[in-house]
Formats: sequence, structure tokens, C-alpha cells
Amino acid sequence: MTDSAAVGVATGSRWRTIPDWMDLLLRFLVGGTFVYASFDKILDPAGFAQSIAHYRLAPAWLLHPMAMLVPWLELVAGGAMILGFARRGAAWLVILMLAMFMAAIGSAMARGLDISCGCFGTEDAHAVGLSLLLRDLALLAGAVVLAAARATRRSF
Amino acid sequence: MAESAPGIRPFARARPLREASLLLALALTAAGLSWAVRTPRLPLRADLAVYELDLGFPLVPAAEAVALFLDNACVPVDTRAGAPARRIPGSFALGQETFDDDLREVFDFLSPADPLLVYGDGNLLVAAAVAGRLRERGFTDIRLLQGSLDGWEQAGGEIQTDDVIQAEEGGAGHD
Repeated sequence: MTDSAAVGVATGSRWRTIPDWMDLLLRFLVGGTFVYASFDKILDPAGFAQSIAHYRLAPAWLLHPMAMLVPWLELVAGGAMILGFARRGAAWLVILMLAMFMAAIGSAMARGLDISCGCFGTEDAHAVGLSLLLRDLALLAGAVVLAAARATRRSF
Repeated sequence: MAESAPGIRPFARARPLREASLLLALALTAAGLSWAVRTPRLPLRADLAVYELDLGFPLVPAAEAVALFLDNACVPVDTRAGAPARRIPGSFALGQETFDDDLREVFDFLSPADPLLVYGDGNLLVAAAVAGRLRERGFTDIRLLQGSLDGWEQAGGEIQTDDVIQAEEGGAGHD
């Protein structure tokens, strides 16, 4: 039994182990997606604010702070996930963000809003719809695995 | 290993929360610094009317508008009331209150297919109102200049003043 697995057993926690390759793959897929998604938004916060405003959910006092914070949170959490630094905390932040994104997309779909997602910046013309929800769901599954499982060896 | 379990357990449970808090603090710091050094700075409280307008007409940042103008890819429309002393060269004056009279004067020079760049004093509600009237009259390619003439000038856009107008046109007309 490896040290990490031993800790999982000794503490009686629910943590499971996953193979190193899967851990690395998930970290790069989920973390990389978030890092990539952050770039355009960091460079153009006003454009991202417009994308958020299209959802008609955020009040005036929250719109700009969100437009400024969320991209950096994506970059920091995604980067940390890739680097294996604070990976479980990063995974939980990613889960929270994905839950928020999915709720916004679902709400927009329910209200029949024909808007672009804005997920990958202001030029992202991907319309809000089921495919987006499924994509976020896949990312969410990856993040949940990363939050709940440990690699067989410690991350670099 | 088993002896250390009681000490590890609360630590292991709290660790993801502490890690998430640390990352959140990092992101907050980076966002704050980015906001502080970036110009023009995004106001902390948004004017939702600005974003509502975007749903009707695309907003064009000043730098992009200047590039369009230099490529002769837009026809500027000035929505400001009165006779402003400074304007984008070649602007057609279409005020919100005097729209019908103003349009009658310039209608022969405008085609519904012209790509219009509508601007004003920075109040996009007025610019959007005029843009809406233009759309009703059949104009299809309408964009709003984000900001005012100051932003246009800061982006390197040319400004025409009354002196030039009077010299060129003998003081007549706005366009």
C-alpha cells in the first residue's frame, strides 16, 4: 500500500486512489480548459462583463466584480490544478465555478435566451444550449474525481 | 501510521478548504492588482443600461471604430443636440429630438446599406434611441461607438472642429 492510500485508510476517509496517468490527464484536461478559458476574459473584462450581462442574472453591483474576479479564479485554480499545487482545493473551486456556470446556462435555456456562452472569451460565439451543459458536466465529473481521489503517487 | 490517525483526520478534512481559500485569496489579489493598473478602469458598479443596449446594437470600442473609419468602413452619425463644436469628420447630424427633420436633410446622402457608426456624448441611451429610429427607417448595419468623442480622440481618432468646417463649407451645415 502506498503512503497516500495508507493515509486514506488510516483516517477512515472516503478518498480513493486513481492511477497516476488518469490523475495527470484529468488535471491537464480540466485545469487546461480553465486556464485557456481565462485568457481572453482577463484581457477584456468589459467584454466578459457584457457576456455575463446577457444572462440577465447578475445585479449591477456584482457584474463588474464578477467580470474581474472569475477569469483570475479560473486561471489560478486551473493553473494550480495543472501544477498539482493545492490540487484538491483547486478542484473544489472548479466544481463551484462549474456549478455556477451550469446554473446560469440552465437558467438561460429555461428562459429561452438566445445568447452566446462567453465561456472562452468575448469572441466565443457558442450559443447557450444542451451541448454546453454536457461539456460542463464532463468537466464537472473530472473535477469531482480530482477532488475525491488521490493519485497512487503524490503529484509533482 | 494508525497512531497518527486522530491527528491527521481533522487536518485532512480542513485541508481542501484551506487550499481553496488560499487560491481564492490569490485570485482576489491578482484581480485587484489588474483592476488597479489597467486603464480605462472598469467601474466597480456597472450601469446595466449600457449592457442592455448591447443586446440591440453592437458596441464598438473606440480603437476599433477608428480603424473602421480609417478604412472608410463606417459612416459616423452624431446624435448630440445643438451644434457641437467638435465631431468626427464627415458626421451626419441626427439628433434625438430633431430626428425627422435631420434625416430629411441628409437622406439623399445616406443609403440604408451604409454601415453607420452612431455616437453621442457618451450617453448610449440617446445613441441607441437614434439607432432604433434608423433601424425603423430601414438601416440595417448600425453600430454604437463605445464612449464619447474623448475616447475616440484618445484612440487616435481624428476630430473636426468648427473652424475647419467653416473654412471648408463656409460655416454651413454640420455634415
